[in-house]
Amino acid sequence: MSAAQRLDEARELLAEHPVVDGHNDLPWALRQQVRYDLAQRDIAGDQSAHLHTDIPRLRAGGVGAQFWSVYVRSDYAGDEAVSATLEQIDVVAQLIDRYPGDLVRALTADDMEAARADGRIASLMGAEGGHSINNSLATLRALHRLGVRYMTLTHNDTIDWADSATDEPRHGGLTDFGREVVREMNRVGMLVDLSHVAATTMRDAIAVSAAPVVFSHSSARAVCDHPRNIPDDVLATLPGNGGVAMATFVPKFILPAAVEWTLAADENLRAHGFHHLDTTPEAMALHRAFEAERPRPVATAATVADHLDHMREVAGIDHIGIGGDYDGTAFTPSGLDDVAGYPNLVAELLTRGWSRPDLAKLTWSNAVRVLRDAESVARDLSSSRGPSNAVIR
Amino acid sequence: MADLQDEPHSVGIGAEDLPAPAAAVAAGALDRAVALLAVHPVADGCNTLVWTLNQRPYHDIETSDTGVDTDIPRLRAGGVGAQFWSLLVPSARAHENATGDQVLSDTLDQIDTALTLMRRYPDSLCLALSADDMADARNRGRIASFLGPVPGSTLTDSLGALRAFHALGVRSLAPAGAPWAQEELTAFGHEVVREANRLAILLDLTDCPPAVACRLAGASKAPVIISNTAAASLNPHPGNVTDEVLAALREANGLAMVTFDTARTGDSLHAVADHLDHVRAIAGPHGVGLGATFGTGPGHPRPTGLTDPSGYPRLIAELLERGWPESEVALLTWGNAQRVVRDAEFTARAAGHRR
Repeated sequence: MSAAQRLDEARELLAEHPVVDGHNDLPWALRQQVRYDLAQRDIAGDQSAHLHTDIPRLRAGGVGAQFWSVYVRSDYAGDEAVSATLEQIDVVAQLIDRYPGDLVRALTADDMEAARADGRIASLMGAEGGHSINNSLATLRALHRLGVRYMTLTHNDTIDWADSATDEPRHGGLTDFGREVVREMNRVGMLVDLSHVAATTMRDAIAVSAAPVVFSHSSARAVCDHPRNIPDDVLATLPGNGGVAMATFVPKFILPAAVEWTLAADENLRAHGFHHLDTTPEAMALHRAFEAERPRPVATAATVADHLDHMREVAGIDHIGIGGDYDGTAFTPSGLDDVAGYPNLVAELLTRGWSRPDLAKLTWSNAVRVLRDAESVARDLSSSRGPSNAVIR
Repeated sequence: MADLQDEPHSVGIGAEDLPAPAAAVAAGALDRAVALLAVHPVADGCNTLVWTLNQRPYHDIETSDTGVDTDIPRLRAGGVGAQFWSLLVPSARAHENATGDQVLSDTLDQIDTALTLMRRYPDSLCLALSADDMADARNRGRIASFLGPVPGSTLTDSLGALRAFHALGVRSLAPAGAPWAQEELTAFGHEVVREANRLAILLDLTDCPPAVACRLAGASKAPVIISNTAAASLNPHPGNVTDEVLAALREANGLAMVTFDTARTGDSLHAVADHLDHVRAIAGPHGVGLGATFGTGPGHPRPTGLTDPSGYPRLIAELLERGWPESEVALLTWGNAQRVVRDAEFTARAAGHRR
């Protein structure tokens, strides 16, 4: 089979079993670039000059469901974090209202299936970091009522009740309140997302969670030793838990040479007084100058496929998925440059001998199943338990 | 605009649970008050039970308990058919957080408690989002429960939180104390007013300085309310409303709802009735309502005869004795509040076409 034929087959497969992507930062990009002025970034047309994401490219990429991240920076705290999260939720609602022929609000697994049948992109929301609930379970419930269906327990910084993978540990995983957050998420039916958290937090959360967990955008640490990735012992617990690890495409997490390059590039940004995650034009210009001197190692669809091969081996075909992190990362792999790229990944996996039923699990059905299971656990728990009002003492 | 569902078709709310008539009021007037409330129940503008219950999570409001003045039996006995449940956080609590970065989370907490309350007592309370819901609740013998106000200080530089509140069911916003409504209504403040109008969220001007209250009343395309107040010209308490503001409310088809609070009204039912007389005279019969501010713990001073929500029939009897026509009493208890909510919805629909 030629490369072109494999790509055709990939597209055909995605038409039937579209991609559920676990993490896309379009809302934050819209906030940063145009302060939510959606008229300036009309995603009905080509926005490739500014964004990884627009509707034509989502369609070309075979995306059938998207968890839109309602991320806010983890140096936000208190009401500022909550308020910004509400704004992020608000812009997702505005996008859905603005593009009703292409996007449809989805709160449940049934909604996802209905959207697929309907040819629209199921739009779900995930919050990225426990700082978004300001240590308040009522705020967690408000986010759920507003449609948020997963919460990553931390972002890059350790918070009052959970250790992050990329900050100093303070708790050795989850605190008692952190465990109560997980239980309350189980009760209301919000998926527990373990991307970004320390391995100790992953293990604690899986131990306490009554529902399957997700990794909305994390790959395999055995393939690329970066703290943002998942250790094998944790991947191996997913069959017992029922959860899904959604491989991410971010080169600086998945390609060892890119990990090193990024450390140097971040150092360069900080030396010039920028935050290392800054994506303003000034910071990006600095990045490009650095890159001109020291060529950036380029990941490809094969790099992602290496991770998926490994994750499949350790966690099993029923426990993997895809979480690209588009518009949340400065660089993307070659061939997976933007949201139109998923067929290239599927073609690569076809080359490696992945069967069509296996690919259907990877792209669509594992992620839908995990949300359905979380709903079922929530129905059970909420009939026997009222809302938790625990606070941090 | 005739609304058929507004026609009451059942005898209302808790008429048989009424307390024995107070000796001071003629039995005839009390009977008329009870009959009137059965058809035109009280739509009360302010009750702070949510905050009080937040401090004592295991309290059951289905049985009367002297610890808290509001419970379902006494709301029923008083003929309450609709209630705005205040979600404001007392300022003492706000001061506990020196950083002030808890107002939004505290407010979401209040919303959560209120929604939990409605889930827990579905036979008595039902969430109301519109004037139709109000009529519906009355016809089904439930107390229509509006969420709000929430504090305007939760809105700092964006309207995302306001839209989130609306999505969660909130229908009233209190600008008092917000940075955008201090001495002047700022540009952002004007934007808040427009967005509240677009969403059919009522503006509750309680405790706004008179100048700001007049600016808000003028800026709002929908009628504004003052959910709990009394007449400053009878008692110059800072929480009371001046005749100037009452006149502005009349101009804007707004509504001043009179509180039952000894410090603001005086310590008797007659004093409260005096305030109602005055507000009706200045704001007009279409501009007066009730906003008792029940929902407090023990020790809160109340006018004699109006110590808890079961007291409304006695007050209504007093107003009938004073010669208020029944049609105007019906406006006071129910009609004005429903009209304000409905006007806000009409304004929102009209604004929705423009924005």
